[in-house]
Amino acid sequence: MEQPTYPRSRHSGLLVDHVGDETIIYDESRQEAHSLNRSASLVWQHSDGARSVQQLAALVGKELGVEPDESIVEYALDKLASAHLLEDATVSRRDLVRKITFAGAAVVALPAVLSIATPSAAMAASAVPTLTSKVQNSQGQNQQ
Amino acid sequence: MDLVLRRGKGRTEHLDRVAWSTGVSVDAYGMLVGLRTSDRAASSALHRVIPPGSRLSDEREVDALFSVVVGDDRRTHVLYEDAERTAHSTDLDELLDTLQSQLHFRVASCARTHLFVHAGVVGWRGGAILIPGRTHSGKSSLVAALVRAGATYYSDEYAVLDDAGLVHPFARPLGIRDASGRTQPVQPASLGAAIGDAPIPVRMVIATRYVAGDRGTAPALWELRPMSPGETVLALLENTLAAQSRPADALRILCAAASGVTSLHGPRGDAGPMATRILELCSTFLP
Repeated sequence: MEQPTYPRSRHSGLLVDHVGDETIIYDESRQEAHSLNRSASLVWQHSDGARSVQQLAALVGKELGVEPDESIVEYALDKLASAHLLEDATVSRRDLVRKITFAGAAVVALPAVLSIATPSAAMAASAVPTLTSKVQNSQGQNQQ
Repeated sequence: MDLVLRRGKGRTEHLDRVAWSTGVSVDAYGMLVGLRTSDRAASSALHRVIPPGSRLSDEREVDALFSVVVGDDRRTHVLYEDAERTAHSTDLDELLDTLQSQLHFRVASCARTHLFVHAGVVGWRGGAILIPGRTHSGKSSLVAALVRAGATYYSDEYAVLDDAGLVHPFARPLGIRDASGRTQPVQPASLGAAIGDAPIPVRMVIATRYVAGDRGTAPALWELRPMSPGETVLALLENTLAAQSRPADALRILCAAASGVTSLHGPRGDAGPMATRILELCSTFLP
């Protein structure tokens, strides 16, 4: 299957903030957080359903000061789709891997999307309450 | 003080019939917390477990209520959190340690005015070094080593961030594991530590965990890898207690805190040499 010709980024149910030139996105329904580097941010930000991949490549190339490269945009779309940040995204990873060459361009332009599942309070604290061996819980079981 | 749990927070009628001898109410980061005990002799212990940075309050209606029923000699002492019986023991001191853990966790999870990140914190030349990580990642050992090397103690458990991303002290005793693996409280003063008394900006984030190795093979500081600001936000968010309950606040505060900081991640070796090198790095590269 191919990328949508006019990709549209997802915005519903997302909280968005920025640090440096990176975009931080919190997905309220999936309770996941994502960090998009600059090139991934540009693709996500400008995928409005009206721009083609070719137009996005031109825009990203201009912003990053590199030659326009559709494979960079397609790679970013693949990453964004995996993170559930595109509407109606369908992706063929095998085709993408074949197409991406990043010829000379652009290690600097390589899109990156890092994701985590946000923790519950107990997971974040990870050892609460700290019950000692002599203390028993309400079921009478010893706690470590 | 005759404490009651705010309406809708749970039914505590079975506890309200107890003859409480001591009650205290505190405003802990925008959350009203009540502590009460059936034995006046235990009242000083209640004050000992109050979270650092809290203020005594006159409010008798509270958001969370911790109750300690002290048994007669050789009887069991019981701890309740709101209406739920959460622990019991014949050792009152140990039960009070449990009370402190549950109380601090509740405040860290439900605080309204600040954001709590599970992290050790020290101050160095006006900036904070944050060491986020889960229990057993070696946070306390690294914090203790940094303090011994001259850093100012802020916390070995929670980085308390305000709206602007500044870090506030949460200077309870350090929890250091002894040879048997049991955690022992260590007063910061016994390590020769100065204790932070003012909010400071984050300057460095070290997301690391201890990895034991043979002599000469343990990971060194230069094996840590830099993190981008975005990676830094995710590393802090992974250890933020209100990440799911206050995500908008968490993103805003962590983005403010992580802006312009130096961040490293990876495994580390022994805390002592690592602490010295971290402070050297701070002194060399940071303003």
